[in-house]
Formats: sequence, C-alpha cells, structure tokens
Amino acid sequence: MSLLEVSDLHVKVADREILNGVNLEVNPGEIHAIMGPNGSGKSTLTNTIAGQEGYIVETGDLRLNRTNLLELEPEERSYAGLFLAFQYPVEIPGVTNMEFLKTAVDSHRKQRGDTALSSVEFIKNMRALVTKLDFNPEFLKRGVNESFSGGEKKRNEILQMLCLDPKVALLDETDSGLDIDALQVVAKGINEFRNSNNAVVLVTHYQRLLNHVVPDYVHVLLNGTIVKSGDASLALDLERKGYAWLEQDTGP
Amino acid sequence: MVGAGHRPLAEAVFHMTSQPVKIAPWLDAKQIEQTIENTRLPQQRKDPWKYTSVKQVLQRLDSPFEKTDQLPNHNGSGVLVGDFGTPMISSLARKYVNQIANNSNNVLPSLNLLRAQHGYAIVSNESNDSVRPAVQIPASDSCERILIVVQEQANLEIMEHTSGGNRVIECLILPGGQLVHRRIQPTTTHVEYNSLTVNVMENSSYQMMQYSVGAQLRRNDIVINIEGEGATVDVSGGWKLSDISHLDTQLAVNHRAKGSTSQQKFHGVVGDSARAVFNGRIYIARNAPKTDAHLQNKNIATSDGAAIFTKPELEIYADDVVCSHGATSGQLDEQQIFYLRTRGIPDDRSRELILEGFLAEIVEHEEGASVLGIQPRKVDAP
Repeated sequence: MSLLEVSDLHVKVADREILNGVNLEVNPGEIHAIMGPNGSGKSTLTNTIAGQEGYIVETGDLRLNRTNLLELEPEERSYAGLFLAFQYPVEIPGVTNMEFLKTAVDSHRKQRGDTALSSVEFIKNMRALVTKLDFNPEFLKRGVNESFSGGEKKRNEILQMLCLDPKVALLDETDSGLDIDALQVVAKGINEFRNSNNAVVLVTHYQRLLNHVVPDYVHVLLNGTIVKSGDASLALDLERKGYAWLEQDTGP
Repeated sequence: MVGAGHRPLAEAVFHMTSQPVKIAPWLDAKQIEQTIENTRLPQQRKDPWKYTSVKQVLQRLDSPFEKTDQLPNHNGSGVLVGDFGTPMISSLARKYVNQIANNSNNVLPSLNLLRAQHGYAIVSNESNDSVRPAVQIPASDSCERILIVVQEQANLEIMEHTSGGNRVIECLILPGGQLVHRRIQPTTTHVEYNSLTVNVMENSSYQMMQYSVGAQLRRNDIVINIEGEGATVDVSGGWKLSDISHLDTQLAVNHRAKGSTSQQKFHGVVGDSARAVFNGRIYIARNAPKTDAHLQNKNIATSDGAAIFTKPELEIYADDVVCSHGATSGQLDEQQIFYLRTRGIPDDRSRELILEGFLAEIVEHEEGASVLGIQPRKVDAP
C-alpha cells in the first residue's frame, strides 16, 4: 500500500495553471527525489500537498495512507502524518524554539488522545535529540528561526521533522544555501529519520544532497508535470546534461 | 489674555477656585491659575490631542475623586516615603514640586496640582545592588501628585499600578543614580490620566516598562529630559486592547546633553473596536552630539474594527548622532500561521502563539506578562 499518492494533480495559483497532471506514488521505506529547473512547479507541488491557501486544486487526488488530504486543514494533514520542511522557514519572534516544538508535539499527542509531556520530560528528549544531531543546545532557547543563519533554519526544519516523526516528509530545497558541514548534518538527520515505515520526498535543484541521501527514485518535474522518472543515476545524468534535453523530448 | 486655543477648554468644565494648594500649601494657587490662564490650552482634534478627548480628561479632573491618604509600601532600606511636609522631604518638595513638570506646552500637571487630594514623595538615598530599595505605588482612583528623587549614586525600583485616577509624577535622578520603573495598567472603566516627567542627570540611568490593557480612556504623557552627559534611558512596553478601550501614549525623550543613549520600544495588539494611539518623539538639542537614540513601535490589529494611530518623530539639531525610528501597523502574518499549522498547531492556537511571542518580546517581568494575559513561559530552555 502506498503512503503518498498523487494522482493527476492539476493546480492553479492566481488563475495560472502551474501543475498539469502530476502523478507520484511513494511507498514505505522509499526516498524520492524531485528535480527540475526554477519555475517547473516543485514548490507548488509541496505547498499544495501541505495545504497552503491560494493553491487551487482543479482536479486530481491527493492521499496519504489512503486519507484524502484535500479535505483536511494543514494541521490535520500534519496529524495524518505529513511534514513539509519549508524552503524558506518562517521566523516567529518572541516564541522560543522549545516552546514552539512542545506546542507542536503536544498538539499531536492531544490529537492521538495522549496527555501532554511534562516540560522536564520534553526538555530531556530534546536535549538528547539536539546532541545526536550535533546541534548547539542554545538553538532551543532562541526565537523560532529568529536571526538564524540559512543553515540553522534548515537544521531546525530537520529537528522538527524528527520531533514530529511523520509518515511522509517533504523536504523543499532543504539543501539549498547550505555549506558542506551543514549539508552533512542535514543528511545525517534525514538518514536518522528514515525507516522501513516512512518515506522521504526530497525536492532539490542539485545532485549534491543525493550523494549523502541516496534516492530510490528520481523524478524530473518540467512545466508542471513529471516528464521522466528513473533511479539515482538519473540525477547524475541531470547534473551532467542539465534539463534542456528533457525539454526537447517533451516540447510541444 | 485669551488665545485662540482657550475657548474649547473654557467651554469645558474646569472651574478655578483660588483655593490654596492643599497638598503643597507653599505654592501660590493664584499664580498657578495665572499660568494656566496664560498657557495655550489643549485643543480637541489637534496634536497632541488629535485622537483622544481632552474634554473627557478635564471633566474627570473636575469631578469628585476618591479620597485617599495611602502611602506606598516600601522595603525600608534607604528609602524615605512621606507627604510633602515630612521633615527631610519638605525641602526637596519645595525645590522640585511643580518645577520638574513645569511644561509650558502641557497645562494638565498644573491642573492636577490644583485638584490633588494626595501628594507624597519617594526619596532613595542608598545604593544597594543586593537588596535594591523598592517601592510600590498603589493603584488609586484619586488625584495624586508624586515626587520621586533618586539621590546621587543611589538606586531605586518602583512598581507602579494605575487605575482610573489622575496622577502626575515628577522624577529626578541625580548623577550616578539608577531608577527601574515598572508601570502596570490593568483594566479600568474610568477616564485615566498619567503625566510622568523624568529629569535624568549625568551618568544616571532610567529604565521604564509600561504594560497596559483596556480602559475607557487612558492617556499617558511621558517626558524624559536627559540633562546630563552619559545618561542612559530605556523605555519599553506594550499593550493589549480589546472591546472599546482607548489608550494614548505620548512619549518624548529630549536629549539635552552629549553622549547619552535612549531606547524606546513598544509593541501593541489591538482587537475588537479598541484604539491605540502612540506618539514617540526623539529630540536632540544642538548641545547633544554623540547621542545614540532609537525608537520602535510595532502594532498588530486583530480585528477590522481596531484602530491604530502611531507616529514616530525625530527632531535633530546636533551633528554626529546615531538615530533610528520606525512604526508599523499590520495584521497577523498568514505565512507564520501556515507554518505553525503545518506543524499541527491549530489555527486559533497558532494566532495566539504569534501574538504572545510578539508581546513577549517587550515583557521582562512576571506581572507585566500577567497583565497582558501572556502565559509565563512554560518551557524553559535547557
């Protein structure tokens, strides 16, 4: 049974059709990479799956573990097991990272009928997690993403992913703007997260993250549709040849 | 001498009585009345009363006040509290009452003096960093005059509550003195007026935090005069207004000596049909080079009926200064809300969390958090 199923998805943003018929099936234990040039619709796909306002689904189906995501609010999609690591994580000044993470985890627990964790217990868990990921514990005291560097913001997304332990993690260009060290930390987090019951969808421009996190499938998104799928070697081809050869293949 | 500005007030209800000044009998009431007569009186719908009814403030001043003779509590170490006739206080009172707040642009402190039911002084003589002298100015629905003097090198902490009265505070911080002043303004259904004038001398510091929630009408006039080199002023605070509350804060920091610094930082959340008015002003005199002065006011409106009027002002006559100012009014950021919701935090809780964070940025004190309805930070960092 597939974890995430995207079928014939057509999406409009501000009256412009951005996605025209995307199909994607992600099974437990798999890592998928979605690649494509700027403007091909990668972020539209992730934002639509996460339930961002303004992304109008014209037709198509979106299911996570058989649940129809299109009927759910963003927080309900999160409870269903979806996680989106943002390309541009948002700053929430004055709310500490620790408080934010606890509120999120408690919301999930409440949804499952569990009681909230005590602060002591939660802090203990978080300390263990940040140590494992080589993050500076100071990180937890600061405002959410507030004056974080680009790399810190992306690490924070990985930390949230590990806290919430979703079924499907969509990572929207989590590798962009990272230096080599930060890239390795992020890759370590993803490898830490993955298991045979969950799945990861990496949206990326570049091959370099895929050296650390090897995908089972690589898809190329062009002009709002997936024009080619293959194994990890496709990413290497793209790195060498660019996207133009695919554009010619699918051109009008 | 009847100026054009007179008539609106004359038609208001303030009556001169030529009674002696009850709380400060050494002052000449006739002379004060004459000053009032000679002063260009505030006009409705013009700065600095553009958005707040001066008439209501004057009417309140002319209606009976609750009588009180309650003196503030204090922790006893190095602080003197007493009415203006108290030995060791009376000479200071004679020297400073009606002198510090003697502002030709604002007649309300003079009117307060004529109506005041209660007057007292707080004097700190001591410097003690381990047990700071601390005084609680209680809330009162009275007309009060307060003098605060921080002597040279002394320090003092003031916790002030306001509630529907007319209160004028005159404050002097002598060289090297330090004053931390917290002002809590809980809900009141009255018309409340507060005037605060602080003269800050060389190398002294004044830190003030003001936290306000709803009132029928609440006006805070704050004037801080930096009169000595190297002084530090830090004024911050916030408000959370709902229903039909009206809050007006007029804050001026006047740099009149070189090498001083000032910060003004206020955050406000305004909902329902409430109104928030903020006017923050930095004035830098010609003789105040090397001044470092910053002013920031941010507001979030949480309803269509909320109104925010904010104006930052800079008036600079000196060279070689560092200044910044900014004021914003907006709504909750949808992108922030979406971000929190994707983490499983429900929509309403997401909004609350963002507003709490916004106010938490200007709150450094438990009671401040509590009056603004912010949960004390539940999760401490490791």
